[in-house]
Amino acid sequence: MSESSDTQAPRPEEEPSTGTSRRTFLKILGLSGAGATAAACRPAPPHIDQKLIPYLVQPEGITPGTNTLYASLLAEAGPEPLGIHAWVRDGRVLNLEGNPDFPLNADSMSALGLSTLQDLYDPDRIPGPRQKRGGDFQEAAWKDGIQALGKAVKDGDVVLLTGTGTGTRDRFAAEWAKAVGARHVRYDTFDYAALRRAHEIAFGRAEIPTYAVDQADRIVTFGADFLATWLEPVTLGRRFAHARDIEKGRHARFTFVGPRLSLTGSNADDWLPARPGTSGPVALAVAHVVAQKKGGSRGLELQGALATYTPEWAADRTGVAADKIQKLGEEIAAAERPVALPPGPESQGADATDACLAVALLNYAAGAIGTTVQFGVGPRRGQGATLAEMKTLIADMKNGKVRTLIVAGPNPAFTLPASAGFAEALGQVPTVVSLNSHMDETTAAAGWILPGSHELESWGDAEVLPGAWALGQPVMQPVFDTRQREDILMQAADAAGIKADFGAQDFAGYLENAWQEKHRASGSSQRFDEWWFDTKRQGGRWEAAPGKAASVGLSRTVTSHSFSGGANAPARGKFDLVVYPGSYLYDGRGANRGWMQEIPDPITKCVWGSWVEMHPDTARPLGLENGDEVEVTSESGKVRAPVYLYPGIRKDAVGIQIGQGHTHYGRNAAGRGVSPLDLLPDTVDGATGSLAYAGVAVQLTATGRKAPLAKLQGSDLDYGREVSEIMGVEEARKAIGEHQVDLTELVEAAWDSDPMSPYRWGMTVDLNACTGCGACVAGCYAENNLAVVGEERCAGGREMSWIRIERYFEATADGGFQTTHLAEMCQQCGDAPCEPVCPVYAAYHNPEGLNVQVYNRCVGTRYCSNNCPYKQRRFNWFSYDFPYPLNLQLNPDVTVRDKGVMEKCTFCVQRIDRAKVQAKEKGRLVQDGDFQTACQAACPTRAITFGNLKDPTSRVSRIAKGARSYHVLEELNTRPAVTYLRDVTHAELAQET
Amino acid sequence: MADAANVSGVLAHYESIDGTRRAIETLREAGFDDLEVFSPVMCPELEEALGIYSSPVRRWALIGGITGFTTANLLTIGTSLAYPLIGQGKPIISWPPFIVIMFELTILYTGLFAMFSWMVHAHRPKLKLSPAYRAVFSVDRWGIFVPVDARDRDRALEKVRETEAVEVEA
Amino acid sequence: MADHWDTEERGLTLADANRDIMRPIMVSSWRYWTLLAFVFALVVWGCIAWAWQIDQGLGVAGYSHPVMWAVYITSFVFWVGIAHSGTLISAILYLFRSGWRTTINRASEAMTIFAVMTAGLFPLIHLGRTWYFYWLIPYPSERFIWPNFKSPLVWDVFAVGTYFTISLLFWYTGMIPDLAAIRDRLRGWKSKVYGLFSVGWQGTVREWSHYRRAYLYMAAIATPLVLSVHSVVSWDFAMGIVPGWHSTIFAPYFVAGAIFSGMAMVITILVPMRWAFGLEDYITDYHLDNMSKLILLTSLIVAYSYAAEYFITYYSADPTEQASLFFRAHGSFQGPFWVMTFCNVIVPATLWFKKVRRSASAAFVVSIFVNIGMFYERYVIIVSSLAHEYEPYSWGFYRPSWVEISIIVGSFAWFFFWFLLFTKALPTISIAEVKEHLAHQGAHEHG
Repeated sequence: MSESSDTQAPRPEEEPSTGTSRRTFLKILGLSGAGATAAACRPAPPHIDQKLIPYLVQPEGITPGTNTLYASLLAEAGPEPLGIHAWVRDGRVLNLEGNPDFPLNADSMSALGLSTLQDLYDPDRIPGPRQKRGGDFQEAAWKDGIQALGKAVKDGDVVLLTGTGTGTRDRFAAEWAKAVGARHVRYDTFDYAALRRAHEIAFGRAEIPTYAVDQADRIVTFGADFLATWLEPVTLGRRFAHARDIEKGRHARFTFVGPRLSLTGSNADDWLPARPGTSGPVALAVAHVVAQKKGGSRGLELQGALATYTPEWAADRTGVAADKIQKLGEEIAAAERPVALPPGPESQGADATDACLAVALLNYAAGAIGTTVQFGVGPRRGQGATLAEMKTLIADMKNGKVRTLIVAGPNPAFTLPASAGFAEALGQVPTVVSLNSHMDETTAAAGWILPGSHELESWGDAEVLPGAWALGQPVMQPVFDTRQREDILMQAADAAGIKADFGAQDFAGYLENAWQEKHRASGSSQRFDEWWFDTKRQGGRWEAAPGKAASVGLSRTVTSHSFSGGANAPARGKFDLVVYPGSYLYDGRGANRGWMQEIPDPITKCVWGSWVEMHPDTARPLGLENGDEVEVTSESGKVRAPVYLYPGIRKDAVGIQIGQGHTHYGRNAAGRGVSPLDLLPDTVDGATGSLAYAGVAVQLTATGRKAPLAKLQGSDLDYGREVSEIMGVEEARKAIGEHQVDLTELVEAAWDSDPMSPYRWGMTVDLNACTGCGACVAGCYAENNLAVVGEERCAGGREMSWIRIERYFEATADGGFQTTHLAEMCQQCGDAPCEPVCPVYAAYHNPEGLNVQVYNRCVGTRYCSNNCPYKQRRFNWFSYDFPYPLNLQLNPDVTVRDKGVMEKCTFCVQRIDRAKVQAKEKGRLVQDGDFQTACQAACPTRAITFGNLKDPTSRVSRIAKGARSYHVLEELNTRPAVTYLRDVTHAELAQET
Repeated sequence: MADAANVSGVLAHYESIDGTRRAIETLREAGFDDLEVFSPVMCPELEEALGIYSSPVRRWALIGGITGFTTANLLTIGTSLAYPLIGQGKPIISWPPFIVIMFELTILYTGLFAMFSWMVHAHRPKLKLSPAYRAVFSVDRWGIFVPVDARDRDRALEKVRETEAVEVEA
Repeated sequence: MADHWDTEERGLTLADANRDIMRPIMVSSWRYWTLLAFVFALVVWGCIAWAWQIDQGLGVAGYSHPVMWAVYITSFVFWVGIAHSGTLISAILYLFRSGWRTTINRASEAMTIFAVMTAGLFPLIHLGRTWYFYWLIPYPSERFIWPNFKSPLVWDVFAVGTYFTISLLFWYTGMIPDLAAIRDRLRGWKSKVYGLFSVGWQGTVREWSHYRRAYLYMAAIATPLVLSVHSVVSWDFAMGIVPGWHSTIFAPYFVAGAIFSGMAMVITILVPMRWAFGLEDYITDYHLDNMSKLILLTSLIVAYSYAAEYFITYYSADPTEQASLFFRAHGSFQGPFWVMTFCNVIVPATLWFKKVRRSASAAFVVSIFVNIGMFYERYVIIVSSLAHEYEPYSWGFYRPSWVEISIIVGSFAWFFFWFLLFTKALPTISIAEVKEHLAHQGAHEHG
């Protein structure tokens, strides 16, 4: 049932909670990483898993029923490295939270990061070494595999293909390759070569700067989807929210330039819909205006160089009206601390470097360099091979220059455009050995699979900022018969009889040696073992973290640089193709994780598939509606997918997301949807050779068939029903401080059930901070054992998510629209319509004002759901299963619901109860910071606040009083415990009729 | 009422309600009060003739109603207090919803009591039928049974013969 | 054409009544048994579908969030509605001393019983965990948890339960003299069985006098009961805050609808029955005429309710409510909506013509339309309202699955299965009352 399912009272110091108390707990936790894995028992096979078996010998430091936290690192989760605290119980990692000490994501997470749990426990992981015999993979022994690899290594012409990295794992790979005379190729799906090159041209520094969005008072992005997939989305998201914190008197106006409103674009105040691959010219023209208006030494430096690139020049190339460019330029010029972000992959064309350079110049002209764009302190990020470099590798593979290819991480057979021909080349390589953990497209072509362990089962580290090192320690024993990748390589080297001295028996030792150097360099007074222990406890060393930004000057050559005019407009009857990384699938690595498939895409609210985004005004005349299948054809290929009508894309463009269209990779991914990479020619950016995603023209033909399109959102508009509310920034500024909202009603809601109760749990969700990233949803899935039901059932409205992000469009005066993302969970009404209609009291009001749902008592009349105006109750239509080993991730504190019962958000009642027990032992009431709900803990922008409304000093009470606060469907007088703060925009809103 | 089993008597058949009524009147004038009258249909006039004016059934119905109402009160209020749970901030004892239950139970008990009380008062159910009963009485004939001992037998017979009896058994 | 039951012209005697009405019990034909077998097969099929649903979970039905109630609840309301005419005819018309009820009350009461028996199935079928249905019934459990008497669903348990019990008693009481008559007609074990159920009735005036009063009181309490039951059912919806449900008009609206559909079902059943058993002398066009008039009246009330619902919504100026009703007539469920309007408002209007009312076949056709229309009415109210509630994010759609359809078909079969058994085993017309009518008529002649 939904009340305390945790019978065992945890010892307070062992209990995770936010802030300092967590740190103290970590101090007391007397365990080294190695000790942790020792203590962590190997997950039992399914048949035993059914029974509860107590420890025969109690492992040191493990108290059954309580979570033990380990600080670690996720370097391969998605676009960015994430510092995490892994919640481990009985040797299984159950949940992930951000590591508050970590200099980047700090205490917040991303949906993709959280979903690595499902990657770890993926039933489709390769359970042990495999050898291909007669076309399919047979079980094999590790030693044979190592022998085979060793032999291949001895034979020479070896290529080691790894991902990029900034840490010891990368260093080891290089060292190993050198030792065995192999060629080391690093490859990431999205490289930032153009950005580095541009800054090299402009300032002589080939690096990625820190974009201090939080410092900015005027933000413009020329396509970078920096809230979802570009650089460090979580970190940039936090900064973005900071820059828009209206209560603190800040609210930087934000302009998005690009053909399609991405998640980032949906948070913008203004949209300049430039054609794909033409954000460069727009940036140039803007820079031109800024240089004119702002003047100053920097302006004058550039005026000459930019003279020809007038708004008019840009207008006819980009499809953006000159006056809009002019206006944007003037606003940036007027701003004190503006920042411009470069194009991301979706808008990077054959002139990617020019575009980035243009943005760099704009930043320079606007005086952003050194203030909001800081060099020398930027997040460290390995540079992978560009498409051009990969093509040389592919060529070598094709003409037999590569005898052995060792794949350790990446999956180029899927992530490279089909036209590059990697898959074919793979066939030409005599020996392909994969160390990947999944049967991905590349691995499927291998002769041997020696599965490497998951990140959470491996050692690793990364230099996240110059001088700031994060440590990744294994948080549990491998789920399957896998080994640390580096160990496999080491053993192979031995098997090959190569006398390579790595200074250690295994990678753990090798890494420790590496950290001993850091210890010496740090000049710490601690003995190494103590220092090393603390390092593991806090997840890294940040003391040497960034000092002040380096000062940079404009290089002479720039002024003479001649810029391209951007991609050409498509021929008549053709469309520009927009290919963009998936918010949840990223480059396709999320595709086999049920959560990532089932959490609706933040923009389209579709699940489990691919779709072709089209503007309604374009589609309707062609007789196309949502779900009508079309065939998209380019010179390089064709794909078929259903149409999705999206007003946030240019009328002459169509958008397709990267991530689906796997042929392998597991039950959820294989054979699902299409990959737009099949449409891309292998065009590259002239200056760097990295792939040009933009600037491809495609043809559309309706197939006349209906294809399944599981869209979970019924209507995109809220018809002024007080569901999602948005207000003008001036109005907001006026309101704030002027009036406060009376909370008595909210608080009274608890009195109904128990006037004496010291608690009335409440939550606030700030729509102005919420970017719609969906981390909260993933957090809820991880915490509350939510079932993944699959495409067909989602289409039937049977998804089980307890929290959802409703995406509504609000019309603006200029005929455009603003998007609001509304994270909605059970509103825990004080006056809950769901309660009285239940014939068996399965739904009732508990003394702390929660709407409790008693699963055991529920008979399934479903009246409560009918009567819930928020439609937040989910019904178990079937008994959903968690195939082994996914069941190992189930949270023991939360009931797994069976068929026929109703369920809903509980405000993480299990966490509330834990907190109450600890507070009681401390002899006080639960107070702010004692614990967070799962959604709150995950949120990058801190949009969610949770606490006790009866305590007038609690954060939630103070925020709920704010001038922007309102309740969804307030007129129904349900007195919800969840208070929303209106979204704020600079755009002028249309009068609601 | 006389048990026809061990008392001999006179049984007369009639073919109309009025005939039967008149016969009853004649016989009662003659002092035969203890008559057993069989009728294939419901006819209040015969009850009048026999001087049956009321039935205790109505009292039972009333008692039933009151019982039902009380039960409902105990059930709704009692259980709500026994395990007080709050829903939508409604009072533990909310009358409007409880009234529905009270109404239904009142009706239910009234019905049950009426049903069983008539059976009890009509001495039903019974497996054995009175020997005076004839199958035709469930078809289209009325019957009057005059329980008399040997002495009054002739007087009864002759009185019966005065009536419109279509058949007389003695 | 007679405007009363012209028994004299037809020269019926008390003995005729016994013979004619008992005929089906005495003789039987192979046609009857084949029909019974067919109907039973359908029942079995329905049970299989239900078993599958219990095993797999409710997901095999077509439900989709937010449409959590659909054809099962529709059928529940439909059958409860059907159940209303029976007691209405036997109780209310009894109190009004309307002679024409005499020959139709028995069959329509039987219909009531079987309709309630069918309706009662659906709350169980629709439960997520059917095997715990008894938690809705107040019984002392070791957990000391009782049902929530504030929930309309518990009111249902009491209302429908009471209605079933009282209707059954009323029906049975009315039948006792007839059972006795059959007992006297039959020989051997059959006679014994009927004898048992006739509680040794021998029609003494004393028995009659207690019986008469009991019957009267039951009629008296059954009358408010009839009105209450469908009001309670309507509150299942009216008590909810769902736009399209939350309306004070529902109780009278549903009661009228119930009588409307109930009368229609009576005709649907009586017309073939009288043809099959040759009861034209007892169920005459005069009876059909009266029933048709009742249908016409209730049809007008229902039509008025439809109109009123829209007017109130327009007048309330509540955008959500308005959107909901607009959706009902123009959204994804407009098909059912217009079927409903046609069947319940347009078709019954033909009953303004005496010709139609007096023609068995015409009345039969109309009644079929009304049955369909009333099923759709409930479907429209339940499904279209749920599909279009407050939160635009959660607007959805619903389509019944094969499981639901099988179970619905099975439920109809289940109803007719019982009714067929009834026609074989029991007098389909109240012999005693018919004879009472004849006897008194005779009395008036001679007296």
